[in-house]
Amino acid sequence: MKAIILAGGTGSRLRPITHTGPKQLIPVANKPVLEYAIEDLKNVEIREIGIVLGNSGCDEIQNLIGNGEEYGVDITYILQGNPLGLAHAVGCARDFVDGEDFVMYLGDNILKTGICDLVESFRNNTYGAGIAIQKVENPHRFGIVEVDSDGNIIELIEKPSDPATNLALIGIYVFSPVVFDAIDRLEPSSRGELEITDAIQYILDDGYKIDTHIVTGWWKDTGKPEDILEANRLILDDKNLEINGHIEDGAETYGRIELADSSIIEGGAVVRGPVSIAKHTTIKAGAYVGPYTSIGPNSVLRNTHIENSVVIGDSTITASGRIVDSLIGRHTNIKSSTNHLPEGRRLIVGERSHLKL
Amino acid sequence: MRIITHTCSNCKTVIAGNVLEAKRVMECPGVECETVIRFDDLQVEDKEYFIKNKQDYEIN
Repeated sequence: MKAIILAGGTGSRLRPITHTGPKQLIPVANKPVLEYAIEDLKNVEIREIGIVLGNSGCDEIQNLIGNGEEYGVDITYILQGNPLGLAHAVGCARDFVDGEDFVMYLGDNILKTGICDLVESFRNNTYGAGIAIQKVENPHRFGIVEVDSDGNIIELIEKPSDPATNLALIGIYVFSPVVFDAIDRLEPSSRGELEITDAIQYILDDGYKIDTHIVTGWWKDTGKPEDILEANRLILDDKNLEINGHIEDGAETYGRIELADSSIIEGGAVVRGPVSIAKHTTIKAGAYVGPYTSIGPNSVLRNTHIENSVVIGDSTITASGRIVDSLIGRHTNIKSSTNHLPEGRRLIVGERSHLKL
Repeated sequence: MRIITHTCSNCKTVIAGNVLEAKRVMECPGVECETVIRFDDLQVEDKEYFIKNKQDYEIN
């Protein structure tokens, strides 16, 4: 079995963070979202992975993942270019898949429980496709599955205006090669895309069985800043956090803390977990790092109070105020304006930024 | 709608027709691959189909 990870998309809801990099590389608990997908695939013994790239973010993804050697997988890249739909992305992977069954994994998804149950079920039976579904509160935003009283799928509808159920396709699929016969028959939908829900409907109509797997643990589509923060909270709650860095005398630490080997919590700093602090980062005197915060590499925090936030990295934060529920991009410098006249906040803010002052 | 791709003979990177059409000539985007790939590398039938239906491969 092979796998494809879809890593295109503009990440428009994550601007300005995604002006300078793809959404799949935004770190959650100091690990890029895309790496969680690779980890899930490795856990089901899949080593041959195709990464489908869009029109932007290709270099950044290839620079990080390379040929996959560092991750113990073999990566092939598939340039989809224009976002012509999930089924188009799958169709572009046809030569790579080369007649095998394969997992399709949306690269901005994170699942608590991984994909073992779905993949094992597919391997042990004869299905045309397997889909992971979950009950959601906003079904009009998803591909929706309608099932009969026995749980068998009757119909799949992409982003319905009046959803019949709240069972959503969450972006993890397993396909047999029959999906390509279905894709060959697709025409662009009203939004100009080849829809994967239409392809699965064809598979169903052709008489193949579809395996449905209800995901019981949490699942996050990390498409918005608040999703990144929530995923960060969920991961930090579950992750085994280790202290490999240095905690100086006079520092106060509470709860579970991940401290990378080259990082320091200096005397006079307070860190209350769960917290993740990446490499080459220093938490200096007067800083308070509160629960559900991840501080990326090469950063310095002094005087500031920060909690429930993600600092992506390479940043200096020394303002004395409180920072909460925030996603802070790379190479950010947040200083105090105290003693600067005229009084006031001094901002250099990127396009499509969101500030609550 | 036909999905048209070209696979690099050297590194197996797959490139969609819309990428090839936009760039016409490009270095293979595969990691450490320097193979030159052209829109003209597509099969004649695929190339003609793509040009005839170009609007289907553009972003709405």
